[in-house]
Amino acid sequence: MINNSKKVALIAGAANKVGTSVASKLKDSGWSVIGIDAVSEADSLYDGFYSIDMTDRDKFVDVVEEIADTYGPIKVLFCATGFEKDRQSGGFLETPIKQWERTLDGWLKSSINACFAVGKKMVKNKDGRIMILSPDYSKAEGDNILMAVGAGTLHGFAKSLGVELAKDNVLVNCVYANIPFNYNAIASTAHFLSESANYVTGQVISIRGID
Amino acid sequence: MIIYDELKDKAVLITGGTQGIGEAICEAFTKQGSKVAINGRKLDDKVKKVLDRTGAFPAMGDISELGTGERIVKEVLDKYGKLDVLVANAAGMSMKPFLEQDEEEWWDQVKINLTGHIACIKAALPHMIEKGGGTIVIISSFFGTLGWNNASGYGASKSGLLTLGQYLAKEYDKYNINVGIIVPGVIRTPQLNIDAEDLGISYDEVCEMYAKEIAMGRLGKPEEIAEMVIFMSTENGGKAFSGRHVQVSGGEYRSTPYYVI
Repeated sequence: MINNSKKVALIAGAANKVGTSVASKLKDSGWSVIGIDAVSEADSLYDGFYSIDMTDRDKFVDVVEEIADTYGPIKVLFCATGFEKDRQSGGFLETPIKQWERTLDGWLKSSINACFAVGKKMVKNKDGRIMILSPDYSKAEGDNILMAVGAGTLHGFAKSLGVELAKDNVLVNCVYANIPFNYNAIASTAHFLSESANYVTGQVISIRGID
Repeated sequence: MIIYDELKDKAVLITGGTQGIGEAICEAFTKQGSKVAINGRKLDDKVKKVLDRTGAFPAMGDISELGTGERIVKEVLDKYGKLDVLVANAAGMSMKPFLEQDEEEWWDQVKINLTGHIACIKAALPHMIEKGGGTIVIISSFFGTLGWNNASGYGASKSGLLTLGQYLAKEYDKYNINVGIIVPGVIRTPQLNIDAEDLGISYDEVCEMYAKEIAMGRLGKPEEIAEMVIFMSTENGGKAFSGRHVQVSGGEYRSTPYYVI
């Protein structure tokens, strides 16, 4: 393990702007920040970056093992995983089932794989904070049913996982951010949930966007 | 607790700031270097100790009485020259079956929890508008908004307070005024004595009973509500949560918030 006295945060979906905003805020606050994404490159601010297929659970477990061995225990996981898959292209009746499956792979499968891999270690350490981004499309223009439902799956998941892991001092919340995003508000909230908010878990936390 | 440099020298008024959650909010703002005023009904020895410990300014009076809200806001403006943050925290509760409760006693809860705070907010808003912005943090209630046995007046007032916050956020957004709402779960405060009395058990027994229902297996601490108030009083925290509520409940109840802005 490298000599690292800093607290370690992992960003799943590190290459997109939300992941980078949260990473930057935590880094400025003295954290070591490690990134994971399906794409091959991310911002140079990361202390470490891993490119994997996030829908592959075994690979996720292996890479989290490597990160913990290299940088130390992961205290925070921020998931922002759905962006790289299909964008909405039509209404409900025009959306093929394959596109639904790909969208659920992006939003749900990637996030739950991250939570599985990191959650096991956090439970063992009796210490952890998990935040799962779910964009709120209710004020966005256009046909968004595909993305909204993909992101919506994370509400019930975060609430239920929050209940399961609470007794082990692992707090899980869904960051339900209005589109268009207020990146500063999301990043500051993630920082607050990482370092404070010791009694907030199982919540879907609405973050106001830019009007 | 995270220290936010921007909160240094901010003028803050906390209703019900003399004990329990309000006292913890007072201490938290003091640690941030803010200029704090606390409101409570009586300036007794216990309150004097809080003032000595924190250096807070006493803006005393029963907010359920007509004119008190306006007077205490004026006292804070006279003392600090401004008001940046108003925390609507004071609460009154009397647990009785609706059909058996005296009408006046039922309404007393609304006068403290809701209309008392409406008066404070009405007095604070013109000043906040004039100076270009401000923050209002409203402390609602988990039991109040969920609905609870023998607590219909408390429920009406606390759910009204939550809705008040949502609509104020929408109406005064154009003046750069953020309104955040906190829904505390079961917090270890003197107010639990009322629950204990209603159930005919001891304070410790009521704490133990409630803890069993909470995912984290423990009651909340007043300072855990105070930390959320602090974050909502920052620029980014205020913008993030304006018109929105956050449950600080140890996972006891999991909500998806609704909002109007």
